[in-house]
Amino acid sequence: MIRIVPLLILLGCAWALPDQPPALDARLLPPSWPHPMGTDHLGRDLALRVLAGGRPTIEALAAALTLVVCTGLPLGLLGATRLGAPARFAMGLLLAMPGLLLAIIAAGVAGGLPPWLAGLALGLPAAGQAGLLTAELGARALAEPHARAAVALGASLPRVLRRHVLPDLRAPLLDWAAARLPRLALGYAGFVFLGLGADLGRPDWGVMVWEHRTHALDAPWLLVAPALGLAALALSLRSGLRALR
Amino acid sequence: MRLLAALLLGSLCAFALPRLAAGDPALLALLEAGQAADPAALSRLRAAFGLDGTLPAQYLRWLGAALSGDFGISWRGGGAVGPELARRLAVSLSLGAAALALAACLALPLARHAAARPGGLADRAIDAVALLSQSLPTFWIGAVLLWWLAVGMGWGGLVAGNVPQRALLPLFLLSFAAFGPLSAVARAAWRATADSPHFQAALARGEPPRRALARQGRRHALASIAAAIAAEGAFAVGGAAVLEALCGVPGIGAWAVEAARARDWPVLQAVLFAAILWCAAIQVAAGWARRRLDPREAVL
Repeated sequence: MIRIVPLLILLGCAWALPDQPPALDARLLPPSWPHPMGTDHLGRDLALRVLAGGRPTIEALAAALTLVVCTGLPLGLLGATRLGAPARFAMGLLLAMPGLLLAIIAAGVAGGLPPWLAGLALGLPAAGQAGLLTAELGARALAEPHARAAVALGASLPRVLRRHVLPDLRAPLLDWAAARLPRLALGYAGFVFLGLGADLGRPDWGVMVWEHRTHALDAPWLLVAPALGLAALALSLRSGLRALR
Repeated sequence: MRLLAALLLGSLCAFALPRLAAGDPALLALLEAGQAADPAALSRLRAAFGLDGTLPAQYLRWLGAALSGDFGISWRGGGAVGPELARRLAVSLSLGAAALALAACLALPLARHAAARPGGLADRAIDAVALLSQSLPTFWIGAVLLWWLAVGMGWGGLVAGNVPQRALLPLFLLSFAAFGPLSAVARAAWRATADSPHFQAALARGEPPRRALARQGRRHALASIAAAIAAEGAFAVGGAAVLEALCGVPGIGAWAVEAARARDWPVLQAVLFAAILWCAAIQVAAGWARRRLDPREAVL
């Protein structure tokens, strides 16, 4: 259980830390004791900003995860049963959605995109993938003797799915999430790095890389800090989800 | 069948999504050209853009033209979208194919070594690369490398050279990103072979372990890596947008970013249509490859 702690700390920091006012006389300070990661081009403490900057990424991930759980899993369970051809077909279509392009276009059309919408767009193919995985594993679990025995005893299909199929799916699905969610987080960071649909007022790791790129020569710590934040989120997601197994 | 459904859905999506934007493009184009917006010129421009008539009529006309390769004219540049789309598709697809080929060529043999000796050097190398590519975004590595190589080492060709030179960095970064999933899948497949009775039987017959593993497991490894390649290959059209935009590679993704900034609907429609069709085509191709490599799939 201790492996979930880093994730919880990151979540807490992202919501609890307040916004910092610019302090123009402390611009571009190198890392030191009062500022462990230095300060940025507006004099704000970079360590605090990086800790607070996870919020949009986490919101996007939460939206994508909700989409996966609400569409991918039911479609997948449906696809595991005998009447599942339409569900499998729908999942194939979901998988064919180019998530990043949809987010880019939506951002261009709307002149900006909140993180949760970007997360939904990026989560479309992920939902298809999770659904297909669920369908394949679910079909295998339904063919197990104990599941067939339950069917033969007259248990209803929803009950068989809940009692005999879902418990089998828990570990592989968590494994899938541990591999896929970090990639989604990086994908979201890449999307906001393009400078489309970003809210420049809020700290956001991808936007920070974009803002800081001109300081790569004179203040390289500006470029390293947001990557540290992203890596921390990706790694703690991975280890946290694996610990939940 | 699936391709046909994807065609319909893709065309609907591609037609509708960019049209949600506010503003009258004909009016914008006139204002940008610095001309007075008199009604006659407006209606002529709308007709040229295909904006007259009801929405379903516009959709049918657009779909009919798109199927024959005519995606209208770009509202920004004024050039035809179709030929430009073909040019950019060629760039993006060759970049994606080269990156996937590189990743697969590295992943398959390395995964075999890893499966033959769990905990060995190859096994740990695969884990390390997978962890690295899961925790560090490629656009960040690209930005740092671009700065370091182009400014620090003086390799200006990465930013200012011709297209193959500029595509070099995205090529390596894309194959780096694809290597993790591909090698994980391939390693699992080789391991399944190493645990199988038919491999043990081959060992019992006296075949040398490495050759037996290669001979017994190749088909299984190829079949399972085909699915992973399909998942990564869907990335080629549009998914590489960030890297393309960063390195100035004139591919589909970079084009979409430019067009989204300029609200250039015909370009966005064409790009989205092409991307959805590409993803569906890749799925169909992967299914075919799996059935060819794994006869059990065809029976089921």
